[in-house]
Amino acid sequence: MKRLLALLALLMLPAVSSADEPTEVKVPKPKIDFQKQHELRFSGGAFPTMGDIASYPYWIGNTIDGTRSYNGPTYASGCYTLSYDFRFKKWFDLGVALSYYGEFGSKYSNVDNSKIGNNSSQYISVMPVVRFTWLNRPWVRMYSSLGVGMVFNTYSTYSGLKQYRFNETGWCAQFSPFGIAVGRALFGYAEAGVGMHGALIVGIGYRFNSQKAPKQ
Amino acid sequence: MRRMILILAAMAMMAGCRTSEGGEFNPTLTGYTHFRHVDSFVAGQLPIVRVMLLFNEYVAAETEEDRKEIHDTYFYTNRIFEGEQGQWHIVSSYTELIIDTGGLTLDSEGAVWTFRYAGEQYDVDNMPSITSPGISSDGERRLYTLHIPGKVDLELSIKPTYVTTDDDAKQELRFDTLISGSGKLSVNYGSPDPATSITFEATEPVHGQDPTASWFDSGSWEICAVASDYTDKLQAQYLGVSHVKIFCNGYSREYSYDGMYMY
Repeated sequence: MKRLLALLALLMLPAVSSADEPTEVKVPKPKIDFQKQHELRFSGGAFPTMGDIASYPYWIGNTIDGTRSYNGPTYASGCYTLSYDFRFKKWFDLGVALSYYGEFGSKYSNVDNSKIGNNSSQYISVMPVVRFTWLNRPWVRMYSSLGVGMVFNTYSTYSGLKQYRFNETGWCAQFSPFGIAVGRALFGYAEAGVGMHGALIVGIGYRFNSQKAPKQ
Repeated sequence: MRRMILILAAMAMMAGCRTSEGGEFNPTLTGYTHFRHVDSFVAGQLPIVRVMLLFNEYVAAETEEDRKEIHDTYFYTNRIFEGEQGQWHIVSSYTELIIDTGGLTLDSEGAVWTFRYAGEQYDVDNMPSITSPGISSDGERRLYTLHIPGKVDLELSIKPTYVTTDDDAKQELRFDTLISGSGKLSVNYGSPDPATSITFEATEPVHGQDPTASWFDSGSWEICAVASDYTDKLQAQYLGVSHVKIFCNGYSREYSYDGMYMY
């Protein structure tokens, strides 16, 4: 963390130093050729926004059956995302993200309080993602990203004491207006946004080039 | 860097959380749901009794002046006329209630009033009816029986009282009602078929005073609900208006409620 803060401080440094020494002769920076890059990322996201794609059959709404059981606490896994991106331009990445999110709970009988089974709702999504990098530094990148894709949801529910399982598909999306990645080949990143991947996302990633750099 | 990665990985793992606390064990909930249907169903049968008793006042009025006053007090939005001998029509904007009095007031010995709404089909030998077998032993209450084919056979012990209304200080008839007897109803709880058949019987006379949305404040019902895959038995004890205690599955619980289900 100290290193991260030191990096952020270093980022601010050029502006400060140029203000202090206005007479210094500017030395042109050596131009580094842009290299197309691959990127693998893995993240965990909290507070994902799931569209309600479950469409229960009408008989599941049977009011008297609904009184015969009750739900225990529901736990969510967080949304885990594995993504691959290709950096076409210095400011533009295109990739694909595969995500998983699950909710789990137990169902209990209202007759004798015994556990009658488990409830679960699990989501798997695939979405193309575009990323626009608006701050590029050797150690730090800041960006915004947007993805739209499909989600597959498999869930179970109860009518009375009987369990039923259903599958649905629907649209999903993720918009992260603010993202920051810190590191070089191996990096950590954090995003704030809304959508399937979560409102607060943190993860790690690895960058590599498809071609080896020429020997000097 | 390694530490940072570990922190990030730990944060990712902690993205999960508890999203809802869940419900609680309530073995009386099914019984309470059945009770609400019975309560509303019985309450829903009583307005017609009120109409009958008020109309009896109208029919029994000794002078045209008295009859006009009763009309203007209770039936001012209705047109009332006598069709065939003893058959009266009470017409409102949307309904026409036809009462066959047989030419007798309801309190007359042997009087049986049958009634129906225009357009409804009934077996002529088994019409909805109200009769008055007499008065209670203390002489304060008039006894009636309400028969609605396939639905209820209720014994009603009713004490009419005049109260002063807030609006114009007029005297208005109210009916203090004790109900005993039994009935049954069919409820579709959402299953396509078959519906749940609920039978009920008053184990203590059920008391209510009209006209309130929730009629009953004392008494108890024994209720049995039967469907293809379950039988529920319960007792419901009124503890006050819109306040009931349900005994079901060896447990009991008090509930407060508002409003009526539709019947």
